[in-house]
Amino acid sequence: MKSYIMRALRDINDNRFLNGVAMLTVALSVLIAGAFLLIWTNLNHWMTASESNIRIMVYLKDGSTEAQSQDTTYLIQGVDGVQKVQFISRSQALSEFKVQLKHQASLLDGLRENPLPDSFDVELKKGAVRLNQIESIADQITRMPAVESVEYGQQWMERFANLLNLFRFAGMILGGIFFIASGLIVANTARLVLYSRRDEVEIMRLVGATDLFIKMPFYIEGMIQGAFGGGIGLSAVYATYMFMSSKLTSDMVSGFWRIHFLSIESIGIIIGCSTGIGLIGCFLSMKQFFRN
Amino acid sequence: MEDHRSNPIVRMFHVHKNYGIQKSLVDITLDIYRNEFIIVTGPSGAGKSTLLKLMYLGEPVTQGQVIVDGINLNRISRRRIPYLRRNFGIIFQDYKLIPTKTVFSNVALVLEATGEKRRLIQKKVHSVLRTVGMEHKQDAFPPGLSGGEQQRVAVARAIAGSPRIILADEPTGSLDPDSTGNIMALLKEIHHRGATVILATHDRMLIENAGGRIIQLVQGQMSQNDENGQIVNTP
Repeated sequence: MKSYIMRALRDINDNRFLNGVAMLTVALSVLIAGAFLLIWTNLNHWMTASESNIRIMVYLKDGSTEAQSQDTTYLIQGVDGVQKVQFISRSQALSEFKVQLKHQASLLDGLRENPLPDSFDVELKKGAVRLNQIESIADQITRMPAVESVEYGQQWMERFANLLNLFRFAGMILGGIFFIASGLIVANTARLVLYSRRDEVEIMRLVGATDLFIKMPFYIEGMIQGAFGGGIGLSAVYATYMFMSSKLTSDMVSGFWRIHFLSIESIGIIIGCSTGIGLIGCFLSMKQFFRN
Repeated sequence: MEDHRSNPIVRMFHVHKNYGIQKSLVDITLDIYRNEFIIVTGPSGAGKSTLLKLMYLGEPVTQGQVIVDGINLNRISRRRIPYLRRNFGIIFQDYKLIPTKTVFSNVALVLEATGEKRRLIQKKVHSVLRTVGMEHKQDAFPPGLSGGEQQRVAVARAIAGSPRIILADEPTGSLDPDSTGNIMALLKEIHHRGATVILATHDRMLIENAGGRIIQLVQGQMSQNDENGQIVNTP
């Protein structure tokens, strides 16, 4: 194996330009796929953080009795994913509203009766709920007899989830296209190197070298191209991350906006994919070359 | 010495080879015995090189059968071809050395391909380079050598794997008389060490001085000298 690796490294050195182009193409693919993955990862982090902070406001029907309020409290507490239920009477709501209005609170003095309904502030279990579960919880509460309506900012959350899906989809499509292009370029590089050395390959075959002996350094070469290309691409993503991170932390005070880099697993998968692309590209070229 | 006449290493039965509509070899039936020195001769285009190529599956036969050391080449799997070729040491008129590798690496390639250990490779390569008188040029690259030197390296490569059969296809075709003499002396020595040597050439001087059995090809058809040295047409 050591001699195969040495031969592969020698070949890379002998064909620096071709190998450099192949590596840069892989790097570009990884940069694009990695950038999308980075954005998606951070939006996802932010979404998860938002979901764990989310509260559901439950408004009771006008004229609900105290017994109905009590029953509703028990019913809500029984819903899976609910952490805490706090009853807010209409009078309490009005006084809190007045506090929030501060100097404009006198505007409410003219009201003949309190327009606010009795309500519940429902806190969900942190980290245990996702958007679809929140929808399910809200749906269960809405169907309770004394409940008039439920609010949890569903519209923006849905929009945000759609945006996330769009990013994921676009990242997969673009990354996929670039990875295929990289595979083809690696294949083409291997083909060019093979053709430039077809006499050598022919001599090897004449002296009794097996196909594996001839092919192995090319496979290793493809894997090195893929892995190095992946490394360069990820380094570019990391540099972008560092730049963005320093910009955002100085602009935004809240830790809520802290940018996360790709997880070790994601990095491993990207390097694995780019190495695999290099190998597949070489495999395709070899198959075609040795068929002829 | 064993009676090599009872033990053919290469057998050909009614072999035909066509390239498209052109007939290169016609109905060749031939036995080559272990430790024979064979000269295949004939004018250019007579099919000498083709005859040699059929033995190591450089070309497939169109019709007939070739058997090498008991293996029928019509039935050999693609995977086994490299192992078949390790029975041969092949020397070409144009040397076929890898110009980007040193003399040492060119010769070592044969042994690397067969998976020999590095230490043994070093030892064997030095030994064969000494045999052909090229040990002092082991770090040189083929383009820096004369034709005769390159062919001696090619001979070293051919014998490095200790093959049982040496195929030499016009090995002296591009060489001056001195170099030709050197190469022929080497081939004789290899033969004396026990290898079967099959030499394709159209050089009359070489044929007269080489000795051994002569197989003559004319327009793809074969004739050979009988026990009394007379040329007879076969089959």
